Amino acid sequence: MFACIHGPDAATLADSFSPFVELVDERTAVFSITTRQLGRLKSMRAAVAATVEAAILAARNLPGYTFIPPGEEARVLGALFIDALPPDPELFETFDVWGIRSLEDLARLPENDLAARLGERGLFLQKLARGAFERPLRPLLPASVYEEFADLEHPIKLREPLLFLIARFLHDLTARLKSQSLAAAALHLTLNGNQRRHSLPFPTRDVKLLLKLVEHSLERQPPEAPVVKVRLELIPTQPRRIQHGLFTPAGPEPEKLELTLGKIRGLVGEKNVGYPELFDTHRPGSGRPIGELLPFRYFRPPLEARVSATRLWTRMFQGQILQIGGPWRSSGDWWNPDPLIAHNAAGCDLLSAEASAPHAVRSWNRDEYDLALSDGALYRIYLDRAPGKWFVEGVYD
Amino acid sequence: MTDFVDFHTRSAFSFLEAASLPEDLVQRAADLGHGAMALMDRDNLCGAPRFYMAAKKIGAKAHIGAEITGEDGELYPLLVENRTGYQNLCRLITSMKLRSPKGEAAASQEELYRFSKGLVCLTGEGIPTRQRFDKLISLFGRDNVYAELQRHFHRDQEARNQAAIELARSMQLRLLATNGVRQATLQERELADVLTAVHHKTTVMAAGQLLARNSERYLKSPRVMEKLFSDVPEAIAETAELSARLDFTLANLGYEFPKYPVGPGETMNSFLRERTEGGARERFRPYTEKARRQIERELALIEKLDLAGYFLIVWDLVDFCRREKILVQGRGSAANSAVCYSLGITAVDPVAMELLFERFLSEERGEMPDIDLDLPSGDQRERVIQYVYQRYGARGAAMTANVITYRGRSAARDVGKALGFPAEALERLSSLVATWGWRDPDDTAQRQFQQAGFDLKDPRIQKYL
Amino acid sequence: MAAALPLGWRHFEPLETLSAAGRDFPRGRISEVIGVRSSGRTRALHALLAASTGQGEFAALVDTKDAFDACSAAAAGVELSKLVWIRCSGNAEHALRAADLLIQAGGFGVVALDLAEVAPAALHRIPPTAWFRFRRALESTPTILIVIADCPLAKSCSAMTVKLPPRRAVFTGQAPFLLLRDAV
Repeated sequence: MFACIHGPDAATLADSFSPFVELVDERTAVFSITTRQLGRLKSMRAAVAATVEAAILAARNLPGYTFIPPGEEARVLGALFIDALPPDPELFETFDVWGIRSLEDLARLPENDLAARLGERGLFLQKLARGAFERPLRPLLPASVYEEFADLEHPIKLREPLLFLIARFLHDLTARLKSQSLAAAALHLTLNGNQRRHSLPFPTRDVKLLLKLVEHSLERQPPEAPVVKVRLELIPTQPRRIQHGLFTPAGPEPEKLELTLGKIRGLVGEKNVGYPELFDTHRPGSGRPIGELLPFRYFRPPLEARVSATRLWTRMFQGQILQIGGPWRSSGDWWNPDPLIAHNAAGCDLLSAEASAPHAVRSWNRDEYDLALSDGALYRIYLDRAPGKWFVEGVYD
Repeated sequence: MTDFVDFHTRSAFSFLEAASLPEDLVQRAADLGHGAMALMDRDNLCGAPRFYMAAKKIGAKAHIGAEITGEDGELYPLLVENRTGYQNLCRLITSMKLRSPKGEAAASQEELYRFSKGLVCLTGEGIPTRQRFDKLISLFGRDNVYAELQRHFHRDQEARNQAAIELARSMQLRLLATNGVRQATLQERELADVLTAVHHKTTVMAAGQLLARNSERYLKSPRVMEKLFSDVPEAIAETAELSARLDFTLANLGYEFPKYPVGPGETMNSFLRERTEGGARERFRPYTEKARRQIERELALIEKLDLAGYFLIVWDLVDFCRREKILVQGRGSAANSAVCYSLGITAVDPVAMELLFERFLSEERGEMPDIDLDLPSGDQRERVIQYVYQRYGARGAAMTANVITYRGRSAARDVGKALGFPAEALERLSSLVATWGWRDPDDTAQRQFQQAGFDLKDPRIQKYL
Repeated sequence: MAAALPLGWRHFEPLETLSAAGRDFPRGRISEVIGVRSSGRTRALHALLAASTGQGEFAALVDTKDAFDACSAAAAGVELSKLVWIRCSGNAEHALRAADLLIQAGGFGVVALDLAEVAPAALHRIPPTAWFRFRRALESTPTILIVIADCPLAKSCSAMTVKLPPRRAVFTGQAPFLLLRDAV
């Protein structure tokens, strides 16, 4: 159950009940409450309900203490006026025109009609009016570390016992997360001092899923020596909120997707599965587009080439240059002149598959040309000025 | 030999948006064989005097202007054609800056129109549209708008150039090639990037697309520019034409000191003489023949150089202070003047001390006299300032600001920050700089750095040096 | 109490086709875009991915030859955060297997299998049954499987085969600063 206190010292009063308080505004504080604590609330301007939003509505708009038994939200809140809801001038005007004055009026409207006329916002307000909108508490949390570790007397050589140990850690950690209404956004597993990091595309507390992730990881990359040190950390975040409405496609089911991607990683390699990302840089290939760009496909790695005024040669093809435009000159990251300087990209980031992320390597200095070759294709070639070599970068297609 | 003048250049006075001093730009342009040079800094004319003086020294013509920020977010690169244009540009800048808080000044369309006479407008680097060109034509007149082309080897820029050429031809606008210069030489691109990072309070590593895409914004030789625009030669030729057209230089400012109001039957000189002689009898005890002759000499020179008004203005201020019982003291070379002593501006008897008047004012030197008045800080000083504004009007007087030049420690610190050095390294760096100054041509710097524990092989250190 | 909002496809009202690059690609079917270099295959691919991700769907690109250009794709309107990118380092077998797994996982508006520039020998090794399997797996899902290739591969299993003719380049401006604008 959730309790909401409303008034000038809401925050201080709420603090005395629970360390995890959500301050909706300076006069409204919400927190999770146990039955034993209910008594103390009776002398305050407060409300208790099964959902956060119902408690807030009641505390703000009803005098004294209100207890809403689960299931009776609509009854208790129905008499409130529409302006108890978060203001939406456009919708409120429509409500007015329709003669909708109280939350009960709004609650009674048929959902499909409402959705058709007023869309998602209308539906959302109706849910609120019914006290039916569920969302988690959003307290301000002190930083917490969710970590378990073990130094083993007897080194573990086989996978099963290791997984067993990790499963125990996961149970404990997810239970702790649950008690604070959090979920895991990432998992860091350190074996014998070697850390492997896994980001999750959605927050979860599902032990089975997390264990399967670890299992896949161990399969792809078995520990190099018998394990004597194990450290497991879960990085916390707010749990997943259901965002999609009724009528928009929701995408692949997150659990299924993550497992599928894991299998594909086993096939093509860790670094070759992810979501492409562009960065704030002028580095060719990594930066966000400037101006209009023609659709392009790369030769990776780029093809070494020889160029004369009239011909282009590579080991795969050659031809006469029919038309050529350029040079288009680009240079940057001059503070990294030495190609051997590599800043370590943080861990093994599953979500960024673009290998030339700018926090890697070197400066660049190149002249690009766009040309039409006698084989009928349009190529982009470039001269890498250090050390003066030509490459065919790809094809405009 | 091609005549080429680059009309779109910025100096370090476009604070943190360009890398080179006006003098360096002038020198480089001369080295490259430019016939004349031009400076358009961002929203100010601060660099113009130095630019002009440097050009004058080598006998080159210096065009000035400013790139004005518009309220519509566009930039208006304006060049001064004649004295009216110069006055208008000064007024425009004053007007827009008086209206807004520091750093946010922008010109309204109405201001641009009101102060448009005598100015030539380039179309700049924005996206060329018929609408925008029409607007410029309506503000400045078709004859005074030039369609600008810049080539730094970017595809999107070339697309804009192609559009600009087509529009210019259909709207009968002249094409003008510039290089949008932000640095004197190619090598200074790195400095320009560092300044950009400092400007945006970040490091070069994090500045992303704020940095230059390549190093092309440097002063290029006429031959290179000619080749660059070989498909549009008229755009190069036009720069010489424009240079001939722009008549104005800072030499013919036509400056006059404000006139000091004197009574009927009086002139400024006669009034000055009266006040001086009256004061002399008070101040020189005894009033010797030597002192009298000195005063006579000074007054004659003052009259010859037409500077009576200046002295009277200063005297008036000193008089105000005396009436209001505010402590005031003239200092510097003015102490060498018997007239100043007589007027009560200075406190030292120059005749008795045998001070040389020529130190203060001489015909050969051809410089304006410079009298500094020391005032107590706080309220009293403020009252004097208000008096000045009252007497001469809000636009007739100005506070001259000191332009904080980047020197020593603060430069070292900001550059270090932009290059991403951690805090404690910054401390060590800036204290090192304080000891040997900013640009040390010897390699003692390297040795000192090594001693301070820096790894000379770190490329950032190399860049820093 | 209100019911929890549904996930997945149970309440998805699919349109029957997805329009992109001037064509209507049928859902739950295989489509092919065939052509030589620079014929416009990548343009069609980007357009379809943009149409799909632009309306909130997830898409997947199985990139056999690691050719994908995120920058021009973004310029074409592809929502990169909704695109799963699989790079296969030239291995066509891996590519087919990955495509299979993605279709089985379900939920993608588009699964794109980019087999362009793959060596003919490798393409010959693809068993024809693979395409039948894909077709069966796709039935009654909203997923479009689009195959980009140099020559037709799915044959009778393909519901729509677009054969792109070779094009000529259009450059504007004057030498040396010719600007490549497009191809027709």
